[in-house]
Amino acid sequence: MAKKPRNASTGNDITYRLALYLPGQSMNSLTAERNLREILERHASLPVELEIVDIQQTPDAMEEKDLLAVPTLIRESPAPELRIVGDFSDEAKVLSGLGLKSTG
Amino acid sequence: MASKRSKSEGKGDKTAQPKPPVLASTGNEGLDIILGGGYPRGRVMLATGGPGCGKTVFGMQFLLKGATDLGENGVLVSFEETVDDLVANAAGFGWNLQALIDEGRIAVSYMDLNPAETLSSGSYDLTALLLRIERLINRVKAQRIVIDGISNLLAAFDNEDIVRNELLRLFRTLKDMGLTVFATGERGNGQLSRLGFEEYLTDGLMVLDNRVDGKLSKRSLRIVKCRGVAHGCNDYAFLIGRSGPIVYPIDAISLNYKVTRSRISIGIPGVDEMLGGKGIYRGSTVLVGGTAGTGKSTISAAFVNAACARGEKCLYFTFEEAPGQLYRNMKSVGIDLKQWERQGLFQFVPLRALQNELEGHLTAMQDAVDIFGAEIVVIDPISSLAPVADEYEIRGLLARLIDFLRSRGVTTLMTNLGFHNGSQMLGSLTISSLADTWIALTSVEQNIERNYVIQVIKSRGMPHSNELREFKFTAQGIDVLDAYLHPDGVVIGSARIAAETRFETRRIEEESQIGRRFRELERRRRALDAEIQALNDKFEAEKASVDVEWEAHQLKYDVQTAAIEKMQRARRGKL
Repeated sequence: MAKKPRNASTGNDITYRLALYLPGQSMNSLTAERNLREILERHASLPVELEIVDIQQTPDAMEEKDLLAVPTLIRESPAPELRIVGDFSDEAKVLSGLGLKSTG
Repeated sequence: MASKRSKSEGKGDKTAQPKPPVLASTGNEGLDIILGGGYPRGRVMLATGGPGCGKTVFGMQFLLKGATDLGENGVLVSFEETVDDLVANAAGFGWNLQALIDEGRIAVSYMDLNPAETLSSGSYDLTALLLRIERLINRVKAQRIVIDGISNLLAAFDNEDIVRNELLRLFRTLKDMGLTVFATGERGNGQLSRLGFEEYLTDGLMVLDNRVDGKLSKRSLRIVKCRGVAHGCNDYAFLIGRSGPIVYPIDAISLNYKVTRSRISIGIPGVDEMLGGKGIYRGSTVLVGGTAGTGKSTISAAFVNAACARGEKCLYFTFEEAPGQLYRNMKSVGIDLKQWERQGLFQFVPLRALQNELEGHLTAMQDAVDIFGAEIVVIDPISSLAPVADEYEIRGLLARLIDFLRSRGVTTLMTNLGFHNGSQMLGSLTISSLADTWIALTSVEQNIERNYVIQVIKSRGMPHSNELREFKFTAQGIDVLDAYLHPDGVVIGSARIAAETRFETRRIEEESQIGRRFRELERRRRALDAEIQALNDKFEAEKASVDVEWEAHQLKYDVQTAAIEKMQRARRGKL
C-alpha cells in the first residue's frame, strides 16, 4: 500500500500501522484475524497497514514486544503505541481502542 | 507425572500409594531442616508476604545454590524487577548471579507488564507467556524455576478467570516438564495471597512475615501447607544476613539441640573446681556479672585462652572497647591473645552499640559466627545494649542469639556490668534465666583495701560450690583461693591473712600448752607406774607369806587328820 505522509493537523492523512500477534493457526487465531479485518474494512476510513505475526514462527517477537497475552494487536502508528488483547469480538472496544469512529 | 492428591501424605505409608516426593534442597540450611530436605520436586511452592519480607531472596537462594552446589540449572522470571536490579540484589549477598547467567546456568528474564496502554476485547490467553518461559527453560535445560511477583501478573489483566486458568495451565506445564517451581506473591489483607486463590493453585504455601515489635524487627516464616511433606507447622524466626537468609529451624515444640555432656575448662582451674570440678558444658551459656573492674573481661580472656590452646576458634564481641586496650590488659595478667590471632584462632569483633538497631547487631553477630566458624563466643558486655532498647527487647534478642548459638553448638560467655549501689543497667534476673551458668564477681572494700570475691550462683546440670571464694589477679592470671571461713564469717584480703596468722598463732600456742600437759601426764603416768609396781611387789610379798601360812596350815591339819584316822582305825579294828 502507498504510504501517505503524516499530517498532524488533518488526521486524515495518517496511515494506521498495525501488527497482530497470533499463536499459530488455531481456531482462535483465525477468528481474531477475521474479526479484526471485518472491523477495519467497515470502519477504517484511513489506509491501514496490517502485519500478521505468528509467534510460533517468529518467537523472538514475543520478547521484542513484551507479549504475554495473545492475540495482541499493537498499533504502532499513529503514536502513542496502543494495544488490544483478545479476539476482537467486542467491536466497540476495538473502535475506541484504535481511535476509529464508527461509520455505521 | 502429576501424582494423585492422596489423602495420606506419609513417608511411612507402605501400601500402593504414590511414593513421597523427592525433595529439592531449598538452598537454605534451616529451611531444609524444617521441610525435611527441601521443596518437593515437580511441585509448586508459593511464598507470600508483604513487600520486603524476603520472598524474592529465598527464590534467588533456591536458584543460585541449585546451580552452584547441585548442578541444577534454573530460570528466574520476574514481573517486578529488571535483570540489572536482580543481579545487583544478588550481589548484595555475595551471590554472583551475573556469572551464572554468562555461563548459561541461570536464565533471567524481566517481563514488563505494562509496555503500553492495553485494552481487551473478547477472550485471550497467556500462550505468549507460557512460550517465553518454555524457551528460557529449554535454553539452559533448567530443573528449577522461580516466578517472582505473580500478584503483579494477576493485576495486569482485567479478566480474573482467564488469568487463573492460565496460571493453572502454566503450573501444569512446568510440572509436566519436571521442574520444581517456586513462586512469590503479595499478601492481601486478611488473606494469605492477594486475590485469595493463588494458594489453591499451588502444592505448598509458605507465608513470610516481617513484624516490627518495639525496636526489633522480627521476621518469621510459616509453612502453611506442603503436600507430601511432613513439615513443622510453627512460626520460624529468620534473619536476612549478609550472606542471605538465616532460618532458625527451632520451634517451641522441639528444641533439637545436640545435647552434649562434655565439659570444657572455663580457663581458671579454681573456677573449674567450683563448677563440679570439671568446668562448664560444651554448648552452654555462661553469664558473668559484676561491677566495674571485677575481672569479667579477664575471665572472658582466660576462657578464650584455654579454648584457643585446645585449637578451638573464638570470637570476642566487644562493645565500646578498643581491641588494643584489651590485648594490653590481658597481657598484664599473662594472657597473650595476639598469638591466637596470628594463628587464625581468635578474633576481636568491635561493635558500636548505639550505631545499629538491635536487629542489625543480631545479624552482624550471626554472620560473623558463621563466616569465622566460631566454636566459642564471648559478648563483653551485653549491658552495653541497655541504652539501645528496653530490657524486654534485649532479652528477646539474647534469646534468639542464644538459640542460634546453641543450634551451632557454640559455647557462649556473656558479661554483664552492674553498679556498686546494687542497681544494674541490665537486670541480671531478667537475663540469667537464659544462661546455664551464672557467676557473680564482687569487690569488697575493707579498711583501705579492695578484695575480690567470686561465687557460682547457679550452674544447671552439675553439682557446684556456692561458696564465696576470694580471687586475686596475678601476673600469671587469676588465682582462686580456698573459701576461708572464720568463726566470724568469711574473711578475705589482708584481714584474711591477719586472721589466718592469729589462728595459726593460737593454734601453736594451744598446741604447745597441750603438749606440755601431755608431757605432764606422761610423767605422772610413769610415777604412777612406779607406785603401782611398788604396791604390786608388796602385795606379792604378802601373798607369798599367806601362801606359806596356808601350806603350813594344810600340812598341820594333814598330819593331825592322819593321826586321828589312824587312832580310829586302830579302835575299830580291835573290836
